[in-house]
Amino acid sequence: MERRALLNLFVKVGILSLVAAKVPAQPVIRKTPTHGNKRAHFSPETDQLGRFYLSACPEDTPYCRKLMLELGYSPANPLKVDHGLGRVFSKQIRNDFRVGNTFILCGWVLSRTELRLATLNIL
Amino acid sequence: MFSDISDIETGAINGDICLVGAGAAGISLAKQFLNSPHKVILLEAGGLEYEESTQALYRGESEGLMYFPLASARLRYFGGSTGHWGGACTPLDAIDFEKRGWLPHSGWPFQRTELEPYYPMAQKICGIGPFDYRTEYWSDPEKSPALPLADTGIQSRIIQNSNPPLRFGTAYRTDLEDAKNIQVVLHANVLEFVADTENENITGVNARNIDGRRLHVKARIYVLCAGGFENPRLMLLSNKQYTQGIGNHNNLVGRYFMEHIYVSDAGKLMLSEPRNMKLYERHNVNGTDIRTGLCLSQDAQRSDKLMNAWVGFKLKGAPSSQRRYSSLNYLKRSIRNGEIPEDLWRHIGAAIDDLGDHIKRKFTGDKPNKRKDKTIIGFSTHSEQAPNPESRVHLGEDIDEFGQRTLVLDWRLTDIDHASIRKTLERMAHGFGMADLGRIMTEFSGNDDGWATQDSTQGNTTPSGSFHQMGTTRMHSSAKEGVVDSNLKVHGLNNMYVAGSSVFPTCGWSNPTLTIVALSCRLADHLKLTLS
Repeated sequence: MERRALLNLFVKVGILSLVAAKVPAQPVIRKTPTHGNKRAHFSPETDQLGRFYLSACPEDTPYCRKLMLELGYSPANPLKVDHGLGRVFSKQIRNDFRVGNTFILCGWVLSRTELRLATLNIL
Repeated sequence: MFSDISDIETGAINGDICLVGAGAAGISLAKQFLNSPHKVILLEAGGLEYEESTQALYRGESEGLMYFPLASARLRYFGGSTGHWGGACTPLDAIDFEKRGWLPHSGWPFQRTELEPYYPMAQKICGIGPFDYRTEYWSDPEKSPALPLADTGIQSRIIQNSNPPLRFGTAYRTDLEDAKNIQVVLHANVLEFVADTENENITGVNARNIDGRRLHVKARIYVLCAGGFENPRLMLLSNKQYTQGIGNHNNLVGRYFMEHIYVSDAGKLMLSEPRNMKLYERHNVNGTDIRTGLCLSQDAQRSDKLMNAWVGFKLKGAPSSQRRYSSLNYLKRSIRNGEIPEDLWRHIGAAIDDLGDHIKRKFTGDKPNKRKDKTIIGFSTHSEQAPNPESRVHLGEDIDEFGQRTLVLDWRLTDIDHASIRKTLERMAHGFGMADLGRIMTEFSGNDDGWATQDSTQGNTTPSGSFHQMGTTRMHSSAKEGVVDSNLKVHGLNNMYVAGSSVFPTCGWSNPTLTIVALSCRLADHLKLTLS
């Protein structure tokens, strides 16, 4: 994937909002207005990013699955979005950068956690 | 007093100090002796203005990494290369002076504190603001805030710009003309230093003009200030008494050539939210023109074992604009010299960079985008080169108009250079991620060997020089590892010194002019003590 295409994808995915504690996991995990508990669905751009990550780093697939299991996520059972979840991700992503748990995808230096989150819908 | 070599009937003059070269170093040194008891002779190869025939004497070859043509990379007239410098000033960092365990051949024979008294003098001579490079001094929390980088290992770093760039030849001509104790001799091309090997002294210099008029200068002390290329060349050419060249007992003259490695498109920063980036644009603060970039903190450099580097954002007044200015001047000089640069395409590209936008705005009346808030920003890097004895200048086989061998440059980079920049950008990316500020894309892939092997597939990370020629007569306390000692005196000689960026053992990322001038002021104090 060309770097420019990946950049455009990032802009659409708004991947950076994953790390903003005040905007929990949005719009990568898009809030779907429902009657009561809010549930989230992944955007097509997020899926594309996730696919690209897994093709570049297939050895990380078990860790992605582990995250999916820990979150109890499946397309049929999308994540319940709340501020607590956003804060956990945000803190974990910041910590990834602190300890160097990162991956370089087409030149972009990204947190493993945010990349694994992007794979949840396509595993 | 100004004279021309052709005016000196006797063909000989005497003085206390003979300075060879009237560029930033030579003029700064001479200024320190204005109206002092000592007679100073300042020899300049060129005239008061650019002359093609004199400039052509700077021609040479390049056999290493692609570099600017040697005849266009420096200026040979009164004022020297200050005639085309961009005006950027910033001091070296303390870490640049340290012996760094991960960087072979690093370490100056003194610490940065040694230059602290001289940097303020240098600021005045370069025509810039106060000697204060703290971000908090230049930023404004409302109008031009600094990025919140606390605890990330990244810091903002200021450059002050002499604007317009001070031309030393124009600015200080009157001072030197009026000083009774200073004689500037124009068109005095120094051909050799004459040595008395028994007493380890220089006994004179021989100079000539293109028409054949000769001059012999005798002084108590001689200082070579002809620039990073010409300093080693003149020392190597002075081989009648010392057959390997003056100061070259250990085959060090000309070695350790360093440049500041410039990569125009080093990557992109995507901010997590639009921010006011005015501090990082070129702008004026209280009468001083500044720009701000980012460096790793000195602690981060030590912990990660990295060299120094500066990341400059592509905002208003960014390197693309300065590069356009430099490239236009460079193309002009090359055309004058009748040369076609090898990297012509790069300079044409830089020269017309965003020119289309300027023309378009002229016709449409649109204003340039003045949004201060930026989200996606490109950046360039300006980095330290690791000292490398195989990166060097030496004498070639071509002969100039005086029958002397011209210079050959063999500029080399190693995998250390590439790896350091690559890791620096990754480290910065981590810092931005830790602080929730955004994400960085780096153009530096894992192929650290590309520069060393001159792999042409480097793409966006093809390195360029910065017109900073450094390291070729480096400083070291031991004659086995340096050409000059901590007082800039040539090892093995009692009365010859070298001034300028050729004495830098390491170069940091900082533009060299301010340090050149500070070192010259320091040398002047030493010479005054010596003469007394």
